[in-house]
Amino acid sequence: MINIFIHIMTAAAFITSLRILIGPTIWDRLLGFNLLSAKLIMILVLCAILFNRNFLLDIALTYSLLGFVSTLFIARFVRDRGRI
Amino acid sequence: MMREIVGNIIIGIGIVFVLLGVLGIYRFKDFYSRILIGAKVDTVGFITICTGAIIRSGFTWFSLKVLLLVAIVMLINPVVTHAIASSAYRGGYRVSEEDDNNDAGS
Repeated sequence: MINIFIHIMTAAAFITSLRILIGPTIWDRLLGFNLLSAKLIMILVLCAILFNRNFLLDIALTYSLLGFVSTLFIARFVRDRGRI
Repeated sequence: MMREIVGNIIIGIGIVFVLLGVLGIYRFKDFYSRILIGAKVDTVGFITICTGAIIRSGFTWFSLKVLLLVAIVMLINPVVTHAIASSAYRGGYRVSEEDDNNDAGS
């Protein structure tokens, strides 16, 4: 049951990554990147349930914190076209 | 066994939320309505999936970690979405007037 959910989530993550390719403005790409990383965290949580491993949750936690910091910095960098 | 079924059902509901978020990304024309729908539904889907995981795994260290993850993502996701939207607004992205009328279906 859980691996069906993981297949659906990977399909949704793939469709979100298409938005990164299509996105007319750069902020669409940033949004796609943010949603893609959120979906990857969900997939990690589902894999942690499937394989019953605790360390996968630490990976998801670290990845969400790093994604948070990097997206914040990219958003700030893009706002003034590179003049922080 | 009963707990596993209930957990699976709640995770299924979370998956439906996430798929609605994916649909929302492609349905809207301009960026602002897209980010409003995408990020909000994604956070709600994440919370639903993690409550399903917590219910499914019962009262163990595993569910305590998932609870910590939920708390942090609930804090992080809105902040990042706000940063992206304000970066778009300050960066000069304006929604042209005629697009507004199409979305409103007037």
